[in-house]
Amino acid sequence: MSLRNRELVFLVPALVLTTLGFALVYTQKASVLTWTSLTYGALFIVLFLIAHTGVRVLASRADPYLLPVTALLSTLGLVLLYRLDEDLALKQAMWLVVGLVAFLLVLAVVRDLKWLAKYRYFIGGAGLLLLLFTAVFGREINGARLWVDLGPINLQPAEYGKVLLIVFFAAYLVDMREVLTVSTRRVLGIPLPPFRYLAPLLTIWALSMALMIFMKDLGTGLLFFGALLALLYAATGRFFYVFIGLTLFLVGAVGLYFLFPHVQVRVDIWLNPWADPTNKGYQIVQSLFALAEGGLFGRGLGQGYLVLPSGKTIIPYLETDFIFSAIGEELGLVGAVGIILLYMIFFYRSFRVAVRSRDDFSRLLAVGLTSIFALQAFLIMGGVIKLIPLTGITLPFVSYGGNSIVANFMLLALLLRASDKAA
Amino acid sequence: MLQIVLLVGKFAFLLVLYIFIYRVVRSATRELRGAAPLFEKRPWSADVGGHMPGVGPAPATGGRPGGVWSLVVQKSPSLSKGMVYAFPEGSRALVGRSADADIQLDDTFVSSKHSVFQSANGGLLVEDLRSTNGTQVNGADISDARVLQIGDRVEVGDTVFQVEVR
Repeated sequence: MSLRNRELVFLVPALVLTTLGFALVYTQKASVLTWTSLTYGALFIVLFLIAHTGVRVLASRADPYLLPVTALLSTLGLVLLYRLDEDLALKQAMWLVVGLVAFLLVLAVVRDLKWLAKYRYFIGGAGLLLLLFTAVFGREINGARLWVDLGPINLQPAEYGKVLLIVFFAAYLVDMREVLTVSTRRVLGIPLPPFRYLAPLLTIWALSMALMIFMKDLGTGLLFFGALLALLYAATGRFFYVFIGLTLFLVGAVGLYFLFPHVQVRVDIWLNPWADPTNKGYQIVQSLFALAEGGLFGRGLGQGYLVLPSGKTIIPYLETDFIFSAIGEELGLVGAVGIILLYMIFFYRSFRVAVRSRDDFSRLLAVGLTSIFALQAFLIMGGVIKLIPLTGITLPFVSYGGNSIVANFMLLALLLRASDKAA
Repeated sequence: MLQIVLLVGKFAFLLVLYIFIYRVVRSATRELRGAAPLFEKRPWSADVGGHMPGVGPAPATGGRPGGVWSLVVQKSPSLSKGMVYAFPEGSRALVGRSADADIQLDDTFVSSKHSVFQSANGGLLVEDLRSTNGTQVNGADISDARVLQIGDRVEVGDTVFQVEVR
C-alpha cells in the first residue's frame, strides 16, 4: 500500500470516532439521536480529506501516520469542547479551518527546508521581534502578558515565535556543530568552544528567555529552554551541554520561585493541594476528583459532571489547561491512556523523521520541533494529574486555543516536509 | 433505551480508539521490520569470495596481491551501496564531511576531516584524524593509524566500507 493510501485508511477510524463522539454528546444533550448530530462529523470528513489531498499533492512521500493521529487528537478536542460549550466548539472549529489552511500554506511555500536554513537569521530575528512585540503591546491576562489584540483576533505571538526560534537554532547549530564539539579551551575542567561561535546563540537564547520571563510566560519559556537543550545535545552528542543546561534550569527554577509569588503557589499546591482545597488548591483538587470519578472506563462522553448549571466549568480553565481531566472523567483511565498512546505514536513517528533524514538541518529541525511538542504534552498532562507542578500551557491539538492550534499545525507541516525529504 | 445507546456508544468509542492505536502501532512496526534487512550486515565471505580475514598480503613485505586494494561501500546514508574506491599503490584519499574531501560523506556523525586512507608498500592504511566519533575497524575504535587486511570492515559514521582486493 502506498504511503498516502495508508494515511487515508488511518483517517477513517479518526473520522468514525469524531462522528461517534458528536452523536453521543448530542444524544446526551438533546435526549434524542438525530441525523443533525452527524453534521459536525461530516464537516470534518471533508476538512481532513482536503488536508489529505493537499499532502498527496505537496508532500507525497511524507509520513502517513502523523496526519491521522493529529486528526484524531484535534477532533477529540472538538468533541469535548462541543460537550462543554457549543459556542466554544464553533470557535475552535473555525480555528481548525484556519490551522489547516496554514498547514497547507506552509507545505506549499516551504517546498524545500534548505530555503528555511538559508533565511535563518531573518527567521530568528522575526521570532525575537514577535516576542518583543508582545512584551511592548501585550495585554496582561491572568498574570501573564501573552495576548495582543488585533481587532477581533487575539494573537498570541509567542506560540509562533517559539517555532521560528527553533528553526533558527536548528539552522545555526548545523553550521556550528563542528565547532561546538571540537573544544579548544578548558575552564574548570569543562571543555568550552571558542566564545565567538557561541555568542550569537547565547545572545538570542538569553534575549528570548529574558523576554519570556518579563512577560511571565514561564510555560513557553520552559518549553523553549527544554527544546533548545535537546537540540544542543542532538547536534553535538556532548553530555556536558545537558549537564550545564540542567544546572542552569535548577538555578533558574530556584530564582523564579523566589521572584514570582505565583510560582511559589504552584509548588505549594503541588506538594499539598489539600492544605487549601477550596481556594489555591481548588483547581488541582477538582482535577483529581474528576480523574477519580472517571474510574476505569469513564462516565461516557457528555455524562460526566463537568459543567455547573450556570454554564461555568467546575474546574477553572477546563477547556484549555485542564482538558485532560475532562478526558479522564468522561473516557476513564482507558481513554486517558489511549490519548497518551496517541501522543507517543506521534513522538515516535516524528523522532523517526529525524533519524531517517538525510541532511543535518531537517534532522535537527525535526528533533527541535518534536522536543517542544513532547515536552508540552508531558508538562500539561503531568501537571493536571499532579505528577509535577502545574504549568499553564495547552494540550497540543486538543485544548481550546486558536493560536496554539494554528502554530501546531504549522509545526506539523514542517515535520511532514522533513519526512518527505527523508523517505 | 437511550441509556443503553449511550452505554454501547461509550464502549464503542473506546474500542474504536484502541483499534486505531493497535493498527497504527502494528503498521508502523511492520515497517520497521521490513526496513531491517536493508541494514543487515552481510557475511564477509559472500563478498570476498573465500578469503579469510587476516589471510591478506603481509603489508610491510611489499608482496602485492593480485589486484588493487579497494574499499567497497556496504552501507551508507550518502553513498550508494556497492560503490568501489580503488587505491593503486601510493594513492591517498581523505574521508570527511567537507566539500574538499576525496570521499565526501553527508552524515551528521562524520567530522569534516574524519580519516584518511592510503596505500603504500603494498598495504592499505587507515588513519583517524582525531574525528569526533572515531573510525572503527571491525567494530573497534582505532587510535591513530592501522594496517588493514582483506575482509576488514571500516566504519566512518554510518558508512561501512569493506576492504577487498580487486
